[in-house]
Amino acid sequence: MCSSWVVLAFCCLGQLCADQSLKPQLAAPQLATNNPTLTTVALEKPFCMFDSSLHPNKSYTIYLYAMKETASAISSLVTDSSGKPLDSTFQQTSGGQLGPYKAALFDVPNCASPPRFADVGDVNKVSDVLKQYLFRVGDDGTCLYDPNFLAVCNPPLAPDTTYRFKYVLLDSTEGIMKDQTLWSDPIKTRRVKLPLKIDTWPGRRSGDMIVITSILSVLVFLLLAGFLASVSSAAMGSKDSSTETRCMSQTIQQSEPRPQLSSE
Amino acid sequence: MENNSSHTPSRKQIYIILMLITYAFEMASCITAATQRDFLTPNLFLKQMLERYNKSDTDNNNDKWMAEGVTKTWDELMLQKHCCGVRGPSDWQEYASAFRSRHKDADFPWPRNCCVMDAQGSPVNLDACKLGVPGYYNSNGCYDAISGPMNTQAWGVAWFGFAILCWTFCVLLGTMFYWSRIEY
Repeated sequence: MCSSWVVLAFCCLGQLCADQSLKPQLAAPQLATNNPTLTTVALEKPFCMFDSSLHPNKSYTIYLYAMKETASAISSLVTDSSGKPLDSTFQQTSGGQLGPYKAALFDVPNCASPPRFADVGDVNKVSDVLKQYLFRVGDDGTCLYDPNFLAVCNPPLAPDTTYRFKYVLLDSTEGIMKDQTLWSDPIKTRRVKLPLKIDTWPGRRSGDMIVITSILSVLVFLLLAGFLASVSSAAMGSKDSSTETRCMSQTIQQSEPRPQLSSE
Repeated sequence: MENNSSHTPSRKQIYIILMLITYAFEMASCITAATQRDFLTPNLFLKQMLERYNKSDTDNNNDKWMAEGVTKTWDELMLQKHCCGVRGPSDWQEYASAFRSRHKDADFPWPRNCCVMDAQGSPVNLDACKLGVPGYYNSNGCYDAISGPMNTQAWGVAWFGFAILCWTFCVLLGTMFYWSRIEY
């Protein structure tokens, strides 16, 4: 970690760091939050990367090449022997498996006045800002199956695969490559999880439920205890009261005949 | 004459026993309601949404009816509450779903109703929505919109039931001790 920072410092001092930064980058995450997706990758256009090679009176085009990382073992050349860039398509390279394929061509982005992020809030300007700032690899889902499609086809990428990208500067009139960036860092597309694996078990019980259950259990226990106490006290009380009533009934029976005798 | 033997319960005791049985059943239902509430987790909604939203190859009529219900509900929910997915739009990206098998990721990273809509009901800017540019898609999840009203209502019912049970407890206890002072 330390040594790479030292190298970077030396590079910047020695003007060698130009190569370090000349790689296609992912679009700014503040702008493109959903990046990379399952089948697409949004790359920043090469702002100010080729300025040293541009002549004022000539017209240039930029080509974007994409390949799977595994293809770098087979071939990672984007030009043929005469310096002309390859014209490979997605189908010819099996989606970038056998080598790089041309995914896009566009004009050189304006280094002097790049698009401003603040303009994204404006509904009218956002399309232009996005178009000038980034390019979405894998955007076109129909060009592969359309036999009339003649432009450069940019079909969706494969999920859960690592890709690498490269920009190439081309002189439009001569058709010769003038400059190229390095291959980008490996960028991996997303992977999906199966919904069957989602665990719907609630896990911990909520606090409310534990409070309600415990308090109600205690109350039921108290009610049962109270009921048993009242039954037992009633049983004891009935034994005492049964002896009392017997005595009382006897005294009543004894006291009742006397008034009859006295009246006669 | 002697009183009846204390083995056969008197009418008041039968009444108390019946009330206790009623109380026990009420308590069981209150606890069950509180327990069942715990099952409505975000994962439950997520799984249902992923499996049924926009499902095209339904097995039978019941399946089709449920899929249509879920699709319609989620569409309206996402549109009215300005939300997307259960936890966020990333739900559609992280998991395979019936929706994903029907629509390509390049065209539909998430359903159209996750995009911010204009007055006519179409997305303000489709490319910005697909890329996830802030302001052109709904970045928050719908779980708060679902669980908020559900929790307040369930909370009210559960605690009201609990309060009634406490009151019933006091009345029963008072009845038992009041009657135990009178001769049986």
